[in-house]
Amino acid sequence: MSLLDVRGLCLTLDRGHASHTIVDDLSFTLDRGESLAVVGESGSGKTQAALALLGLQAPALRARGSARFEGFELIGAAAAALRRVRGARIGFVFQDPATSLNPYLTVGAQIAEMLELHQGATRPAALAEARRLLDAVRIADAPRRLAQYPHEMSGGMRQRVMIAIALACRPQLLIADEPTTALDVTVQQQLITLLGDLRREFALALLLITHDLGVVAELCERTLVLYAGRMMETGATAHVLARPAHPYTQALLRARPRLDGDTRVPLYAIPGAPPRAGQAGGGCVFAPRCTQAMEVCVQLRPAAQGIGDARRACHLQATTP
Amino acid sequence: MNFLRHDRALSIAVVLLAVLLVFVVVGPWFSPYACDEIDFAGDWSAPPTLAGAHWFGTDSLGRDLFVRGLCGGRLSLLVGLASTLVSLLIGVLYGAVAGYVGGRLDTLMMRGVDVLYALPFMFFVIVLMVLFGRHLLLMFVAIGAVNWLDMARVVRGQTLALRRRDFVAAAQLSGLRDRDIILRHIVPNLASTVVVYAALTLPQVILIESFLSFLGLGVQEPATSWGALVNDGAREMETAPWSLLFPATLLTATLLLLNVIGERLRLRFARPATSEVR
Repeated sequence: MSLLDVRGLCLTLDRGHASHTIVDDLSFTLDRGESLAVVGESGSGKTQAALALLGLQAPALRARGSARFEGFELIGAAAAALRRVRGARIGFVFQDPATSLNPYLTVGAQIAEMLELHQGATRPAALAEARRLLDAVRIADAPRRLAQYPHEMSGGMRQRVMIAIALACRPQLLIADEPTTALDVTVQQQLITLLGDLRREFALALLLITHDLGVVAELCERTLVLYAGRMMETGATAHVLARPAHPYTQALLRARPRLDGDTRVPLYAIPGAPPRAGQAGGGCVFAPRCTQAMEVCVQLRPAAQGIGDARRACHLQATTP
Repeated sequence: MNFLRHDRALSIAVVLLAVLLVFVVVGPWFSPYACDEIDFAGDWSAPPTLAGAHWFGTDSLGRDLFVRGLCGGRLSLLVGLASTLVSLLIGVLYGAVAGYVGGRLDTLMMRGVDVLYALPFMFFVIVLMVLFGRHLLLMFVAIGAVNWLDMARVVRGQTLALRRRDFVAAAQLSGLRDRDIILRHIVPNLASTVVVYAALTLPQVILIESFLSFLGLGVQEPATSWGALVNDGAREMETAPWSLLFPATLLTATLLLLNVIGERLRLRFARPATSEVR
């Protein structure tokens, strides 16, 4: 049995009679210790999909479908049951470490809170464990840092603290929502290395939400490309990045800036803009921007097809297997 | 406490208020007269002199006005502090819950506050006093229970803003209950606003108490407060102006100092932490 089994997850925005689909029929699995990257543009629904796993999507959104974590159904679960999963079995790291920590509490208190809440630890025991956690996320001088407030730390260090909080109760799964986006490039690299190391040390499964393909290549074995709330392509990261089978993934990769590229040539940009919620027609959501779109693409929605792990939703003939 | 050094008006007001507080609290123990002691030997109509037995003269019953002013101050400040605490407790919890939960409950709770606002406050307090007798404790509760409305509104507004912050979402994702999020994450973040607001509520409450006592609805003889003393003094205004002047000065000075402190704190905390207040 896989650790996380998501099947047909849909998020809809119901406004009176109109119902807009934000995430449409998303399915994926994640085994213990495995890592999956969900890649997509801003607004493609990746964050809301991840939040929906813990029942905390935006209040206006309704989740349907199924998401089983260790066999336990998360979608529609009771609030009390979900609270026991949040933080304890599934850790969550946010994008911006500057705002995700409570400015009025010391770092130690915020880590200890997790242990007191989920494991019934006493304050001294929780603080001792918090010290070990700070060591684990490579923060030097842990005893002094525990007594500090978030504003006394740098951005990279705050994100390390966020990771320490997320790992405090030794979860099986860590969901990281663009964990490096708000940081300096050099600090980004350190954090990616740290996350890779921690995955091994804590035997973590990682669900990484990002739009940074460089991070994906380094951290995740598998990749899922999301566009306008629909899965475009999924498969082994090496395969998806080296030989993308979907025109959207191909276009995404073409749009990446290259260090060895000609700086006088403007960067490639995918023409057009993503559809707004509720504007997608009956066909493939990417068809209006796709350079290889055929007549059938506009009329019929392509089903996800493929062998084993590698699947894509596209009408084009697969060129090379 | 670093900001004290940079703000001269605030530091002067704090020092003066501290001196006044020490006098009011400790003073009566060192006075040769008790608060309700009548000096039968003295000349009650004599104007006050520093050389005489009564520095500020006596009231119409021959009691030393200096010591009565200090005793009255004790009571006024006590009522002020206790009522402020009551309004703080109710207001913060009510406002934080309404702002955090939001939606229909928020609408319901805040319209409730609006309804209470519409009640004539003085009338309300007077009715309470008449119904339950003039008990000191009741006065704390009555004033506090009416004064929390402003606090609740301010706190709710702040909570609405805090509610959208990432660390609240992070706390939810960590599996905290709403109750714990409010108490551990929202309330500490309200501290600066609440402290400022409490500092501004304190003089208001003291004034309300004085007003009630002036009307004769507040404290009862032989206990006294600044409001009651002003009331007594006002009756003797023409023959013994000092009996009005002294307690009135004490009351005014205290209110002025508290207002200065509250206002400076508001300026200090309403601005970005980096800018300096001069």
